[in-house]
Amino acid sequence: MRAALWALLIGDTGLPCVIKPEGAKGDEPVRRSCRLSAAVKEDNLQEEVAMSILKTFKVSGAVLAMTMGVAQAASAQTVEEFYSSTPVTIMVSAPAGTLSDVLARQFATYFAQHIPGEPDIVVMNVAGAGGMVAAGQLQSNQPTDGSVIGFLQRNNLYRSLVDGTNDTFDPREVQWIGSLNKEKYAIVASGQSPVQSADDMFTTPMVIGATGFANENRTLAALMNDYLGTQFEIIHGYSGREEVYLAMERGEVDGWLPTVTGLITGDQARQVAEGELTVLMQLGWENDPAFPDLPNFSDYVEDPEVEALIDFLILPFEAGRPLAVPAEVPQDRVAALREAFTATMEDPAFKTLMEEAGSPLEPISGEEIAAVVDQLYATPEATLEDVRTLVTATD
Amino acid sequence: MEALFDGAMMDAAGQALLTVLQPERIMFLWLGVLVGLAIGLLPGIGGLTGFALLVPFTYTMEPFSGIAMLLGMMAASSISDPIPSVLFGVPGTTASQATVLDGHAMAKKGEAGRALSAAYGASLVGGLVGAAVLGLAIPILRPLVLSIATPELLAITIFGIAMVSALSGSAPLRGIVAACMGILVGMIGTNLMTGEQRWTAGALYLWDGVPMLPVLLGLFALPELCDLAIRRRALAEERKFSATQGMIKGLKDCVANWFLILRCSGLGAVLGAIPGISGSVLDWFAYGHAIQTEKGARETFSKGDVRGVIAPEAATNASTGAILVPAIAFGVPGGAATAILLSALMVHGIVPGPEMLTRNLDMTYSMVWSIALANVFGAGICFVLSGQLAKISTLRYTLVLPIILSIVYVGAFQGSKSWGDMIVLLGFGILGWVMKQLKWARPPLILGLVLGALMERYMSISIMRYDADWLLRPGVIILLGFSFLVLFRPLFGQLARKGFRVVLPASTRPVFRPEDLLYVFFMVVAGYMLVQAQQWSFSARIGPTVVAWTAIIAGAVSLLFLVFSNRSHPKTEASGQGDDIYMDLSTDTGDGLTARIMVMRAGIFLVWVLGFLLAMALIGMIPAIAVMIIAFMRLEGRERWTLCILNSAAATVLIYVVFDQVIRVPWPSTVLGALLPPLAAIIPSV
Repeated sequence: MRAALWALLIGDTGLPCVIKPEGAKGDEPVRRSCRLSAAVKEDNLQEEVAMSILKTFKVSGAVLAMTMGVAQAASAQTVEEFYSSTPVTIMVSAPAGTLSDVLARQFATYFAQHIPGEPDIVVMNVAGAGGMVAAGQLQSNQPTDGSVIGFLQRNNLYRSLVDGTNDTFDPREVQWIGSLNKEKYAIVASGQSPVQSADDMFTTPMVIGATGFANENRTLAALMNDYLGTQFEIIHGYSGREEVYLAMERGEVDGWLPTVTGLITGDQARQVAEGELTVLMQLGWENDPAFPDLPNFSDYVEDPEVEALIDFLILPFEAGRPLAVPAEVPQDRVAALREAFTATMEDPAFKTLMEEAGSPLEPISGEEIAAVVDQLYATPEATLEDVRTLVTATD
Repeated sequence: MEALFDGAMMDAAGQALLTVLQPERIMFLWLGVLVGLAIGLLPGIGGLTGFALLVPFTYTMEPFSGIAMLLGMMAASSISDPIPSVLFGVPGTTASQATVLDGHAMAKKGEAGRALSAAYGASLVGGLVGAAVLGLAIPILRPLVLSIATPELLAITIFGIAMVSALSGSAPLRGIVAACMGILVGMIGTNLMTGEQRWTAGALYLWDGVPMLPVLLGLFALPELCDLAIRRRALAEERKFSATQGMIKGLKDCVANWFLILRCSGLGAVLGAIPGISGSVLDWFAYGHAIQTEKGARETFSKGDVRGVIAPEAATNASTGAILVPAIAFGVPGGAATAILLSALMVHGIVPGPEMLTRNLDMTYSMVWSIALANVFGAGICFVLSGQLAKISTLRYTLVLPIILSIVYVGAFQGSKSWGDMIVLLGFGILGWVMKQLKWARPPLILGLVLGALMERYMSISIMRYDADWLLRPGVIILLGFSFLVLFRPLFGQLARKGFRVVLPASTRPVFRPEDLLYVFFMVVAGYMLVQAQQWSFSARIGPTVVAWTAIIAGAVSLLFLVFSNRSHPKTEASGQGDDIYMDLSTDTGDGLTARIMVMRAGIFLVWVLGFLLAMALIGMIPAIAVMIIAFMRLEGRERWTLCILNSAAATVLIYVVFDQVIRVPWPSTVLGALLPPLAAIIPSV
């Protein structure tokens, strides 16, 4: 409150605490003293915008003082004080009702219990452009006090790098909290498929169903055709896994590249167990415990350039469902959120729930996500070009 | 399979009925029905939102009650959706667009009660037929769904597009232009086939395509509201029937048209079972079918014919049960809503797929019964209320209009929850009003929007997978044959009646009118999109190129024909092709008003619409609604202050509770919120 009083006292002399862009003139001494009086977060974009608008409107000092008071009182609070009085919004980057959304909603209730101050938690869907809308909003125009957390998607980690859309979202410009699970892909064949083993893939043509052109379930298959010599005929354009499975059942396609999670839950788990579906290969360097005996990339890849290409494509799978907060969120709150994340991941009730829902937890920490992002951004340009070739239509 | 036909099947069905009839399960079913009815009333929230809201509660319930509640909600949301369609011309869900045409026209004639009651009668039968088809088809579900491959899906969408000819009334070429424009709009966004972004102009908003909801509300709802503001009178001056009379009349209509109801229910049940065919096209399929098969329909449809209400309502309700077919038989959801339903089943350890037809047969039949009962309950409630609801159509426009306008805004905002939705709403609102005034049918545009992108995708898969052989599949040949008949029947009819005279120009002296500019507008837009498309890869540009050229050529031919149609001669006015009807809501805006007054009042309405948007940007959506309702009522109608405040408060609280507190809509940021962040923390949506 000292800051508020201070602002009130000097309010009638103008607008002392306005944070100016670099090189702006005027009010320097007052501005500095204001800074001393309380730790002003001067990189807070919203406050900056608010205040510069205020200045143009010449609003009276008292109103400004109130605004300042609230803003600055916030930064003097402990983490617990802050979260006990401020509701937390989980911004889900997928539409209501999707698997991501369902997981986010379940996660939210447990997560809230582990944040100091046990805040009220609100789940909000901000879908669009494969999660890029939510990611972009998180980076540029959401509150930066730690009250908004983005529940993002793994393609957010590399999409900008491939598309050159860093101005929308740059994964290095947010602080990562953690990721709920990892994603792993495999290749599966229907009973009618001419290919029934991994080795057949290199000698016998097989029709592979896929969804979008840039989706991993097509790019990985295309990569195997181009670099490993598989004989896939890839038919993409199916709207989702359901359409692909139907197409498999009626013999339109022979197989596809599902996630391992999708193979160990639901009716697919039964089909795999009863031999209606044959899992041919694990698309990673190591096998998922569910399919320990499958061949994987390490059996077929020797060329280091191909290795680098595969690494780029499968590295983001490590952070399957990542959470992030804006870069400006104070360190103590980020630390608290990361701790709360770890605690949630170890919460036995939540663990059981996720296992029952068919998405067992495989968490990685915020620091580990940041490391993944750094590794992705350190990819040599030549490899990136290869990736772009894979995800760009040529004809 | 044969084994299933013996007593076991009947046993399971009977057992399931007893299960569902347990008091606490019936109670949850009722609860679901009530939520569903509320959801159907509000444009913008459909079954999908309903599922997202209710599913978390079912985790702790026993499976039969939980599923009964969810299905009750799902079935009921398509029962109450004709209410806003009929009363305000605002489709309550995407599945009740076709109902607007005749339902709203009936309301204007004072027959709202009859329209609603007929809609419920048709809904009830449709829903029961859908449930029955689901129940009876259970043993043969799997082979049925498996017989439809991508080429057949493609042929079905082509059949749907061919319906355009039935839906464009007397001006088929205009219909083709509008449909092509719809297809082009539907192609905006990231192309699934190549990953390229088409016409997105770098806007994230457009990556996922133009959302359907704001387009729909813009095309149909805003023009109706605008015309209401121009007429400055209640929708209907008086009601033709008393509450009970209307109800009875509607029921009699249903009895008289029992065969139409059955046909449309069958259509809905069969097509609804096919993944990809949603309620938003089914209603047009049924409507088109009714036009083509019902006696005299070409003359009376869209002018308030009760059959135009009955047909789509029966079909969309029948599809509710059918939509579960692929879900139950394969564990494959037919749409996003059924996907949530499946996840709810799985939480209870019930795995959708073949086991639903063996081990979990009792659950499957309990789903059938739940849908059937929900239809009886839902239609019953709505039927009882229909007479009372009809009275709304006689309320003063100043009471109704601002509230509906607010709901249209909030509804459109559910499209993708960004400012883009408001721009799309406004843009298509203006386009819709102009089209309505100039007698361009709007349904083809919607049909193109929904089916165009689907058709492109299916075509691409079919050709990639089967080359040209897809054309040789028997199902495809039959469906394409039907499409050809549907598409060219009106032309053949004209040729038979009038000979080749109809395709020859009637005059050699060209006459231009200002309204021809709409042709020019469409052709310029198509041309611009065509030019833009040429820089993409072949598979991304081939579809747009064909469609844009079709639009330009059809537009040019139609315009030329019109210009040389001897239009100064009054008899060949409008479409120039005789006296068939124009397949859209008839324009009765004019009655007695001069063109100058009409344009002036339309301008005033536009100012209100823009003012609303401005207020939204300044002070947030919810405060804007509160303020604008009062402002409109005071300034337009000089209503009493108490009435203004009451009306405004009721609407604002409703929208606040539903959209802010229950659905948690992320409101767009506002100027006030940026100025005074503390206020944003207190006032919702600032």
